[in-house]
Amino acid sequence: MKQSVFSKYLLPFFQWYALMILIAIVIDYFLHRLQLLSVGRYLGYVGTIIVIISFVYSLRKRKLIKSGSPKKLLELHEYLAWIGSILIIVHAGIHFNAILPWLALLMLLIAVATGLIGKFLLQKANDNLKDKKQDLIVKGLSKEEAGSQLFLDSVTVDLMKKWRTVHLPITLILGILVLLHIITIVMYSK
Amino acid sequence: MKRIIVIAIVAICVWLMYAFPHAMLNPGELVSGHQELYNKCNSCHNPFWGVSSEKCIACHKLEEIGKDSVKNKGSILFHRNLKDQVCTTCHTDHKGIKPVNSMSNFGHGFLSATEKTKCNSCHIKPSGKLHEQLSTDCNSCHNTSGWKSAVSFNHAMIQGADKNNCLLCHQKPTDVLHGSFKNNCLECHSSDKWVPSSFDHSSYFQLDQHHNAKCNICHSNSDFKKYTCFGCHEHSESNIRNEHDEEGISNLNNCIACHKSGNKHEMENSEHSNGNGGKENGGGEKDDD
Repeated sequence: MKQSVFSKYLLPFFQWYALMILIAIVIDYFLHRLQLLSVGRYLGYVGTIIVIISFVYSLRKRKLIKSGSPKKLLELHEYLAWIGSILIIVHAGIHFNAILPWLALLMLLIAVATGLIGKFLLQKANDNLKDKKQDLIVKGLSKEEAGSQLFLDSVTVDLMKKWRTVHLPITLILGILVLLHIITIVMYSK
Repeated sequence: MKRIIVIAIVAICVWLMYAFPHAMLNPGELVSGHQELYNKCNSCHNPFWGVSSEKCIACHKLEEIGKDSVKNKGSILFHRNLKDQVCTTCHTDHKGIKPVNSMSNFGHGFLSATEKTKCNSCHIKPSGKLHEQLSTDCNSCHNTSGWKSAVSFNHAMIQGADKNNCLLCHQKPTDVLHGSFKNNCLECHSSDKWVPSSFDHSSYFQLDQHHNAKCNICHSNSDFKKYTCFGCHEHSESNIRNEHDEEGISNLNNCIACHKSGNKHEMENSEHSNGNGGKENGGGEKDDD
């Protein structure tokens, strides 16, 4: 029996997202409990560096670097960005002060959400395409005929891949806000 | 198009930070005295170079700090001696309206040797009975690294009736043994240290391997001034009476007079070793007197 769309695609999305928030809360709790609040300040730098490292995938995808498996680098991007985001959320904490860092945090949460949605939608589209093509081949169609019949589906896949590019402008805005946040911190810290 | 969007976003953010720096950038509320500096970040900050002490001192003259605000006129106005210090070593801001929240890392090292002895100009003397009778020479027991310092307390400083009143400062132990005593700690303990105490059970009765019993086996009702040897099944009254009747001993309530070591042959051994019939240390026969 096939898994439902909810359990196969939506549930993992919510699980990853909720787990990220939960881990951040647990780390923040222990930092407060152990009087290690100053550690949170540095987690911002560590988290940002980890997220920046995850963009090796983007360099590979745009052929700015030639080595490395894109698939593996994509996985690396997903996990490193997720881990880095946890550390940045801990760094932000729940302090309602300046708007700029809050905007950056908001964009981070949106960027992670779009990333996860893109990941699971793409997975769903690829799964659908694979299944349908296999069905058509079993029914006696050649690969070319099956490909022709699945033209609309492939368009859907393209759309989903394009949808994933929504992720990019959001990430770009996030990058700008983070950069401004870092510059102002360097300008006005002690 | 992308480039225009990026430039627009950056421009909008920069404009917002310039127009509303407090809302966009402030990491916390300024102290009440600095509220007028709202939105004037550069009044204190030198961008990329931190907060300079010169900017603080421009408003807060060192020789005048505390002059009007300190209630106790005998207090030390020690800021006047801090010309070479960095204000942010002790003071910060953006920690809320209350100035006390913005105070950190005060070190007594900033004080001169004379100022260091005037603890009461900043600290309030504790109001307990103990501290009432002491002088202002706090350094005798405390040091500037912390109230519970490594300096040992000298009990000789306590005078009068309270000198032997240990419970004025110390809590009475809650175990059964100490529960039966009143405030006569010095009978077993000294003021130098609590452990070891001078109490030695062997001076009354030796708790050897056969007598390593709980207190209430011998001292019923936790009354340590009385004891009985009949609390143990080995020493039933009838057995003991039979054994001692042969010797002509009838007082069976003062066992330790003859058996202080817990050895039932203690008297016989003593007789052999001394050759004087064991009469010297209050033997059983004496009990009949």
